[in-house]
Amino acid sequence: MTPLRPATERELIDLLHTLRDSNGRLGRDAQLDRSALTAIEDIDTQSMLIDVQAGATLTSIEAALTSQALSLGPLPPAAWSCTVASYLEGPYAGLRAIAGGRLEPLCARLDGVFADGRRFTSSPGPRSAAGPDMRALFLGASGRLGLVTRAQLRACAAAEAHAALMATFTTPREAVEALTTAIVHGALLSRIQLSSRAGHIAARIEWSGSRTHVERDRDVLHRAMPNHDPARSTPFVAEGPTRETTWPQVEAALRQNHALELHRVSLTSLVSIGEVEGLSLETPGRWSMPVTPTLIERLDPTQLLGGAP
Amino acid sequence: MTLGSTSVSDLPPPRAEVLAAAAAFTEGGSSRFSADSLDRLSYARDMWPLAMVWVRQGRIPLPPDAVVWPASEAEVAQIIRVARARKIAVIPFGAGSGVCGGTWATQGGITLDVKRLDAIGTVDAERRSVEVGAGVLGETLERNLNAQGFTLGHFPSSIFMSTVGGWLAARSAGQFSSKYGKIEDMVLSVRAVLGTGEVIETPERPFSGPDLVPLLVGCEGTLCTFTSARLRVFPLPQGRAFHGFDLGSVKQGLEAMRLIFREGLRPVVTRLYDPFDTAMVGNHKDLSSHEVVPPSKRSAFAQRVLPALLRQVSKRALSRPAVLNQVQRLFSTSRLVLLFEGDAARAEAEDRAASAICRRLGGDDLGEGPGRAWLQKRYDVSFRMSRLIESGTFADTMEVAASWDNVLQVYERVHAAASPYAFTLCHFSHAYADGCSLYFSFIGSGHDEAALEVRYHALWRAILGAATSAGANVSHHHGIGLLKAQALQDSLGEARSVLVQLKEHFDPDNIMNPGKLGL
Repeated sequence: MTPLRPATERELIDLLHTLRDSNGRLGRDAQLDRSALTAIEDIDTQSMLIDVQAGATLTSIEAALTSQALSLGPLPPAAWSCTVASYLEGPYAGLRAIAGGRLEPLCARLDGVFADGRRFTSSPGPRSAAGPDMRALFLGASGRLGLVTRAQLRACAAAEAHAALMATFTTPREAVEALTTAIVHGALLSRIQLSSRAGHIAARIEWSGSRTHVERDRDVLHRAMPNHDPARSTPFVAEGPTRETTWPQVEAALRQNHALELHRVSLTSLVSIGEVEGLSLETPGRWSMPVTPTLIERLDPTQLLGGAP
Repeated sequence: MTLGSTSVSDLPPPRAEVLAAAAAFTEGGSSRFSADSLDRLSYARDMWPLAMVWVRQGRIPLPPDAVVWPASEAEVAQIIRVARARKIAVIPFGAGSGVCGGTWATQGGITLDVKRLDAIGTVDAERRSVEVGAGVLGETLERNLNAQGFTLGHFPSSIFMSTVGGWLAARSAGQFSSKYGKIEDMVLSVRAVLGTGEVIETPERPFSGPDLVPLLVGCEGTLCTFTSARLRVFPLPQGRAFHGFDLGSVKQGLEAMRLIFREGLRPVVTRLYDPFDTAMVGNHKDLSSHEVVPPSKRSAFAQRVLPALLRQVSKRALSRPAVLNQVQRLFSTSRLVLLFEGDAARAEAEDRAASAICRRLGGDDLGEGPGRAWLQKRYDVSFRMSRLIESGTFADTMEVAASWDNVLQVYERVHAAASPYAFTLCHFSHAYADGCSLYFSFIGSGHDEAALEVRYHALWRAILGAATSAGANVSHHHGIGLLKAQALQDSLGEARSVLVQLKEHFDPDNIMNPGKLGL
């Protein structure tokens, strides 16, 4: 396969035109490599936003943010090796968890190109009611509807303090209820390790933030989990596949005595390492949404971007 | 933009092809169909202030040819399939509270009122979610959820006259969005009927591939009509904490808001009034003096003499809005209202932390009063707008959003752009870690109705241009409709044609709410 390594968005568009003219297809005849699009263009410390090109890795972005006392915040471990493009377009779908148990796109804005070379820039502002949110044609779409070229990512203040506690529960239900209650009440948890032994559930819970924020979250966690102690043990090494899953699936896994490590924790879904039912974040599967394969036919009739996965 | 209108007393007759389809629309089900003049009149407009000005003049937008009320999703699908086969326009309709002309029947056709899809499921307490019909009114839903011990956390000013389907169609935001999010943050999945007549249900996370929900939510009926949604709910708050601060300037107030969110605090409400709004609206000292009386209960003085007086006073005062806007420079204090809710101890702890930030910026601590007063009167202002319009003026609002580094610039540029056309107020709300919404209110006049309308359209061209050139988006939560269609199309740039392709995909015969979003 021919490698395509554009250094600018314009070059990417030209390469797509050339590929289309030769009836080529990404993934079959050519391999797109966005590793020359790695610039970190601007950091807006007021709004905690960073403008980056699609090939920059999240690790390099975090390093740039650290120098400004900012951070991308708690993300799943495997995410840190992703590029902007692979985190947004891949199975992580570019999502991050925020306080209150909600998910939101890590990208506040997104630039991309469609199969016919037309450029897209999403609406500015923290939230918009300006018609359909066409970022959805890029997020989680494996680059089959459009290709990300640049993004404005949301950051947060770098953590001043880190904390951890151990809590025990008599049942999986009690554990899940306590954790989700803490999330509803505003705790932003960065990592949870759960193990099931001798009919009891042990949880090691980590969180971070400003010093006062850490204390507020500690207070919420203490009240949600009466049986708690300071975390003296070191975290165990989590093993198993990385999946996006739900709290009922976590509860089911605990009933089967599986140990789990949870990240990107929201009320809607979470990322888990361990034996639990869910969606693999390592190998993308067939698309779940109705009508999306036909949408590909509409937006990319020659399947230049590879067609439906 | 050319918009058709007609005299209220002389409606054009319904088109024959729509009347001919009446039996097909209702066949085998319980859908109701009406081509009665009163029904068509009732559905001709939404709450776009331009239409309210027209009503004052005895005009209304061109009405739909008929109104249809389906009782089930299957009936919605049948109606859309029949309309598609006969190329009849379909305008999905919730409760008509939109303010951008999103439900105007610019090409006739049928208005599809989904209010009979009004089922509210039992809250799934374990998953903290509930299935709700698209026709459920906001206040009905919230009351039902409260009885089950939950809240949706969605409180738009229109809560008494807006539906779940309308919220989804226009990407609605409630007053408590800073904590609970906008409606798109609350949706777990939707059921909808596409313009093809196909019924779709989107899966809940986790799923593989792109998410269709963000493409359908905000489509304003141009791609589909929603029939139901599964929404996230939260337990009823155990406590609330209120606070008000006066800060030295808008700039200081915005800095306080920004730092509150940077610290990770999540007030349900942060509302900063600009100096003149602080003087006029933000000063909620007297909780009883501004009660809104419906027209049917007003005295003869209030119904006839007072509006005439107001008309004269406002016309004179508003004939030179630039002078009025200059007067605003005499004021500088900006009032910030804060409200926290949820776990009682957490709400109080966050209030203490936010108050410390405000004090550090020199804020004058006003205690609980402003927050409590705002909560008590939070729906009143929407009802006051019609009184203003009755008095012979135009009154309208524009809500846009921008990142923190652009907010002040957007505020100043929109203010300057609006100044020749209308008296201008602004408050800042719906705050997030990376920015907030700016909510402008405009009141203007003209020496006659024609001049007033010219000025109204000139105002909108000026303010949308100023906002977007200063870094704001086109809308934070009112949507696009007809009013901002050109601005949306301009903002899309090369991607304009992708929106057209989406339209062709989901609605190949262009029957769904034609003309809205510029489609």
